[in-house]
Amino acid sequence: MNKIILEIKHYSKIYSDNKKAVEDLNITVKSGEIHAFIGHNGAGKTTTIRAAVGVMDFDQGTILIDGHSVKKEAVLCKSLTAYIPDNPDLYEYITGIQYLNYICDMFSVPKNERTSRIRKYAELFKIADSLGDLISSYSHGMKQKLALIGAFIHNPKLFVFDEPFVGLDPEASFNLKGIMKEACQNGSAIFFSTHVLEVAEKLCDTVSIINSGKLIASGTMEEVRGQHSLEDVFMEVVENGKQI
Amino acid sequence: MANKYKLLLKMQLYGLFGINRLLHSHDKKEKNRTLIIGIAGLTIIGFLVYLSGYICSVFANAGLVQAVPTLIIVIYSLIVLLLTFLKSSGALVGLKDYDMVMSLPVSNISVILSRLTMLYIMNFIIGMIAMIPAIVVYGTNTSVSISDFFVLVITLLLTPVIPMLTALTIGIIIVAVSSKSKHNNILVLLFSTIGILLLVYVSSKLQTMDTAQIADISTMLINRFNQFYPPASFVSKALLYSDWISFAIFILSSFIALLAFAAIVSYFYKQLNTRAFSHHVGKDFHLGDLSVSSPLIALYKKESARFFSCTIYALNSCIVIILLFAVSIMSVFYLPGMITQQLEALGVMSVLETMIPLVVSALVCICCTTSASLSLEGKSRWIMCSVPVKTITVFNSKILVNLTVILPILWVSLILLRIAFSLTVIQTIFLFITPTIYALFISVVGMLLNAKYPRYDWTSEYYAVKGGAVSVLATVGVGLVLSAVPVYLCISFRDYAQLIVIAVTIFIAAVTFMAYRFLTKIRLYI
Repeated sequence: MNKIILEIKHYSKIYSDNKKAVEDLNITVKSGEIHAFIGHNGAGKTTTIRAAVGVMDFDQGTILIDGHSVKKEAVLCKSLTAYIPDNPDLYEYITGIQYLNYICDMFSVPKNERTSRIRKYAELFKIADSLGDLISSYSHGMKQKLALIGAFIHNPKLFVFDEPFVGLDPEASFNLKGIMKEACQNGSAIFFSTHVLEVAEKLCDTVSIINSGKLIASGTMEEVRGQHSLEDVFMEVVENGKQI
Repeated sequence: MANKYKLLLKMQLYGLFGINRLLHSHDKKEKNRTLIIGIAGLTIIGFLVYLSGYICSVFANAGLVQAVPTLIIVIYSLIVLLLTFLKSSGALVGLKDYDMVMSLPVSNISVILSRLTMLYIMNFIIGMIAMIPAIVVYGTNTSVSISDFFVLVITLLLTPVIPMLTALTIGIIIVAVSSKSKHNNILVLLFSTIGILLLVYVSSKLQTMDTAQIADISTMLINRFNQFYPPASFVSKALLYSDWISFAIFILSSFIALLAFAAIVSYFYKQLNTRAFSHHVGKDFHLGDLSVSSPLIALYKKESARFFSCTIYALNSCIVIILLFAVSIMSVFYLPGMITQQLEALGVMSVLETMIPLVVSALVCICCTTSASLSLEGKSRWIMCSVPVKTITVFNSKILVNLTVILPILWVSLILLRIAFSLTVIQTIFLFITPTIYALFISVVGMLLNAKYPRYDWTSEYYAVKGGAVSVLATVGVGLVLSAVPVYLCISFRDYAQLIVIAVTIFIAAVTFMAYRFLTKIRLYI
């Protein structure tokens, strides 16, 4: 049985005006799994993702990464995780290679592996020639690719991505799917949000659907969609409030 | 065109002084922040009002009331010149919202005029507040006719135009010249530092002229001002001699300058912005061996790059320490023997020498990168929050950058000051210890205040560093109070001046230690 990498238990987030952004959420992602997290805009996806990677505080529930508490062992959990937000604003005043080396320093990537790992992903995403340029000169897609390289070069146990396919060209999207699968084959787990249900359907092993802060469906892709498409199921559970 | 101009201006005005945010925000923190900024702003305005009134009343009392109009124009113009120059980068060329604005069905001239109007309004409000007391002084010391009143009103309305356009022109030239270089921000920083040093030099020259037997040199003073800045001469002639031709020249020159500027910039607007947005692109990048650093050093390198990437941040943080260095050099080579002899004769030289560390410390307290360093993470703060390092390591890297900026120049300046003044052993020891402790203190306190009051939602770096940044204002305020109070105590209790310096140094060291302990308990979140 695969090891649990991400475990979200009874997680709730209440904002200062008493608005509940997320209520009693339970999600588990195991080693080797790609887990899609889907929901409307404002459903609570980003709030959950931010709490899971330890960049946002929360009051209720427990979040564990590889068995370690995000709240109590924040630095250890972050060292096991790669996170990319929905709009990855990078440091525009440094070059691409400076950014990647900064990430390598932060995650203690061994010196003898840095160059080969950076070369592998930079060539795959076709930005190797631009690594010496300032990030401010990059297009939106190039910044997204750089952020993705920064996530993959330190071989984390858990990848948490918020809309990772936005801004990528078709070839880069294809390659991203490939390296996501490769990372999972090597024992990592991926938890990502997306609005592109076709991608989720084809790529993911498990899926969770969130609506107005509440989990309304969770399980393997086959369990959740049954004989229908993920889109049909999504519309059904979100519009009619049906729970799976 | 007029309609589009009004719409563009309306959108700009929504951002003026954060009033729209205050009206529509439901966030208590936002309202508190605006309140603190308001109080700080009112304090600065109060200071400007006092300063302006004081300077003009000194002139009036010396029987130089005819110099006041010239003085009004020169001070008002210098304020506008400096404020606009500091904001010139990104105010007109290289706008953050350039793509969005230029994709609208509006002409270049509408965009330029709307931006100019916005700058004008801000300069006018600040200038008016500072100049009203001077006008009151002038009015109460002379008989102001209706025509004089008309001249004063028109003068106040038009005075900001020429200095504003001058500062913007310099700013645009800097952008145009430096955008070809990969290190354009360092060039902008260099040019800006030279520009500010020149402005300070000119101002200090004018101040020297004030104090030197003011009554006898009145005519020369007015002539110098008028030669230095012809628009001031035109207004003075209109007020003093009812010279309407001069006044017409003043009005016409302001309008012609405005129209010519708008026309030229609008013609080259796209080219200028293309240059501003163009980036140095390297060819055939080869991936070689990469250096390995500890997380602290990696953060420090990144923070140093940030420092040099933002002109206003670097200028705001290091201009005073550069001035200290300049003054230290001058004190070695140009300290007038007559002044030192007089001070010794008055018996105050000893206490002044004892107080040097505190005076230097007051300057050190104005140099603080940490108070804006966290805010400047802006939308990129997700990286800082998600990397596997303790929050205190992030803070340490930012504190280290501030110390790197301050300490080398500070210590060289202190060596120069030691050469310039003959100090005792104990005075020499505290000459080095006290400002160093203050440098540590202001770095830690600035970091603490920025961690407590970060402002990540800025659209221009200016707003994180200057415009309404609570942490920056509060840090400078705390630093100045904690260095000015000991100076006052030393003056009041001269016999105990050395003891006061020692006690204050120990006290500041203890406060720094406690503030740092507090800093270690803070955690950063998005």
